[in-house]
Amino acid sequence: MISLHNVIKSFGFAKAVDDISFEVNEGENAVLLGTSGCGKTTTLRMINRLIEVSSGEILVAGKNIKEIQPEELRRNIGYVLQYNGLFPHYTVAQNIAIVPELLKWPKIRINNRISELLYQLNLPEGILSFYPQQLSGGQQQRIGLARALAADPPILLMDEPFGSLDAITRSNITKEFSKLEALKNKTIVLVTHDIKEAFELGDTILLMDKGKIVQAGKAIDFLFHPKNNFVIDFFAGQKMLLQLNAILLKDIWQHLENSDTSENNLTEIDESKSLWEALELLNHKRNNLLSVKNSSSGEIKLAGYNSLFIGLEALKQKGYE
Amino acid sequence: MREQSGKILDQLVQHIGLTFISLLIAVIIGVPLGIFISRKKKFSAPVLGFTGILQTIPSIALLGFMIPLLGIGPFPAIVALFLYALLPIVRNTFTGITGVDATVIESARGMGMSRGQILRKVELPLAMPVILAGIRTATVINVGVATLASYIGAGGLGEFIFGGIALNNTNMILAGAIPAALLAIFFDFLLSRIQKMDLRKFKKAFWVLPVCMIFLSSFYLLPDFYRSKMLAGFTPEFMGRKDGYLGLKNVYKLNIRTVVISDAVMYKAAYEKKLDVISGYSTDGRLKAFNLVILKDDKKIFPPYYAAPVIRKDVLQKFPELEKVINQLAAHINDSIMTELNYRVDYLKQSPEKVAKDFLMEQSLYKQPLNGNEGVLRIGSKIFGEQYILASMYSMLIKGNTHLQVQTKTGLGGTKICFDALTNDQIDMYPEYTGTGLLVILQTPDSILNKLNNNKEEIYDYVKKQFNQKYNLEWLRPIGFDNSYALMMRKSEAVRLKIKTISDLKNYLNKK
Repeated sequence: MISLHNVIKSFGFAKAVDDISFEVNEGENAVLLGTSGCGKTTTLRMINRLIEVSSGEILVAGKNIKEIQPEELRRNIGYVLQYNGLFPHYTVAQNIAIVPELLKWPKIRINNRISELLYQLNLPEGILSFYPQQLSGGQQQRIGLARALAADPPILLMDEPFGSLDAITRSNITKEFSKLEALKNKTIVLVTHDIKEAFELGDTILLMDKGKIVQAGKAIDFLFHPKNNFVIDFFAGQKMLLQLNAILLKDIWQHLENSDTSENNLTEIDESKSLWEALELLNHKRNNLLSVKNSSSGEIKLAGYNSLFIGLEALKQKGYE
Repeated sequence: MREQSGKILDQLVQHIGLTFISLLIAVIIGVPLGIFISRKKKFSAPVLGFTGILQTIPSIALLGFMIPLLGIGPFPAIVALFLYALLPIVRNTFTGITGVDATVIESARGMGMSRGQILRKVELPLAMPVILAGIRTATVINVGVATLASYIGAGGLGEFIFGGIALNNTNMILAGAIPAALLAIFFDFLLSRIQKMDLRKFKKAFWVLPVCMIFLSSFYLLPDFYRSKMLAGFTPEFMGRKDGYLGLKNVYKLNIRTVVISDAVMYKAAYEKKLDVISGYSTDGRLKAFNLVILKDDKKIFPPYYAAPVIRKDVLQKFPELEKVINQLAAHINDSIMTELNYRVDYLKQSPEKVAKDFLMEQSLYKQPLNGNEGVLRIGSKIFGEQYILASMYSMLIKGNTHLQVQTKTGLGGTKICFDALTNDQIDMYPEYTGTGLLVILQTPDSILNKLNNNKEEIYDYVKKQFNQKYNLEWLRPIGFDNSYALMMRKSEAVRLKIKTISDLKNYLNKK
């Protein structure tokens, strides 16, 4: 859907983006991860031509973006910013309607689309006549998302979309976001400096440093097959947490305790849940054991604090495959 | 005054017209200029700097600059007012547009709005309160500065204000000042309401405002100047005086198109053919400098204006030696000498002090200052060359012949300001003219005027007696020259049209 080939962007002598290439498939969530100044935002903004490339080429849906009018291109790509960028002099309804109006949709179609979006994003109907400054930060961010989705673009670019929110709102909205039906079929490129966010939302993560992509792949690859010391250092601070989040119960199936019976009254958990979720459930239920069911064989095993950490240790020993 | 009351409406309408024509042009040019410099930031410093400098030029000086470039009348006044209105409008447009949240602009671009759409739908609406604040400031400035436009013949409420100051007529000043102040307050209030209107109503305000401005601008065109062969420029004072324009109309039945203009630019305007007839002073140096000729007052409507020093009586009692010293100048200067002295100051640009000293030396009246410290005498003067010269002469005479120190307070705006300064013990003496004393200060009724019949000795005696009784002021001996009002024309044109007297002028104008 989106592919970059040897893209370079230089400002004066400095190369903000230094010869990067990657591809994002249709429906995939790609996360550009890195510290500030690594070139991730510049990369994102080149995709909708807010910044023009110095060399290399970018294809969107197979077409070189240089051959598309920038305005035309942007109207077909949703764009969500960190500080939402809602128009303060427009109501919520007018804000959401901006792109459809640019595309000259009829009024009825616009109104239907707005109602649909409110429903999908769990926003109350009454909010439409409000002005952005009358809303909370979380609501503003959701309206920003609704605005980006208004014309139902196949592609969404998101620049630190939750960066301006407080930690709690942020964590809630991130969870909500990962489950949103409206985003299921979108091709998304998301920029963040937050490792947890990247792991939660990214099908593919592209770790950037000094304008280059250091490593690209799935979350778990960064933990178990770091390409170099930069990658190790980058994740060092939150390694344990990330590992618990990235490893699923089925990954340590063999280390779980066998169950004597197929029937017990323990709390059940799906094998596709992460170790972290299992730990949280154990803590929450004040139980010592959870019942885990293998979806293919129907076999039941038991997970307790002990077995979870033994499994994690064993996995780290032999290296994750 | 009664004869002029109908004029208030005319002048008010002219004033509103002047204010809004210039404002409209300033908006049409200033807002795009502000937008331009918000796009090309490297131009912002020079453009804002230049408009800022325009703002610092004193308004009367800016109007003065306009005369050699654009002449007199409404056009240069509108240009000057436009230049004044420019800074607040350009600066506020620039500030408003650059102040729009960058994230909002970025999101507008990111959604695929074109530059024009961003300007119209995002930047202008968001900057509008700030731009309106600039227009509001400019409006109030323009209402104020437009009062000065009457100095260069553009009309407006300034005609009353300056006429009133010149004529010692408080009612007339108020007749101009109160409407001007109310106008400023009214428009300020109106614009503040528009400014405070809710953001979503701005779409309407966006249209209402220009329509209103064009409507108000058109006011200026309404009072159509009726045509005549010649254009006369008269000072505000002359316009309001019985022995001025009113006399010309009543006695001579003179029917000429007039504009009100400041004395400072009138002669030059006549020389440059912007005006054909002006109301000058018979001893003015510019008469010689600009090659003008006086039309004979064959029906004697201009009373004599013999110059003589007026002094407080208590000062004369305190320093009795002063009278003799001051009277040394009496009968030394006739009309042509005064014209020559004025010519040196007004045209050759010699300093009044130098001219005064040269003359006193010539007449062997000059003495080295005694540098005494027995007291201080304060000499005032009105704001034109002749008065400066006379004040300097008196200063030198007093310093050379008494042990008093002298403080000069020159350049007091007009008769009223000088006279009030004298009666309020701000100054001790200043040179005054018999005609001014008779008509402006004493406001002598017609019955007595007819008896005096413009006889110079009788008028001097009458004025001297009245001042003595009413104000405790003493007129000392006349200096010798008569600086009366006079109608003047370019010499070449007067000769060509064979106009020698005011009656000739009237006959010429009445011919088809």
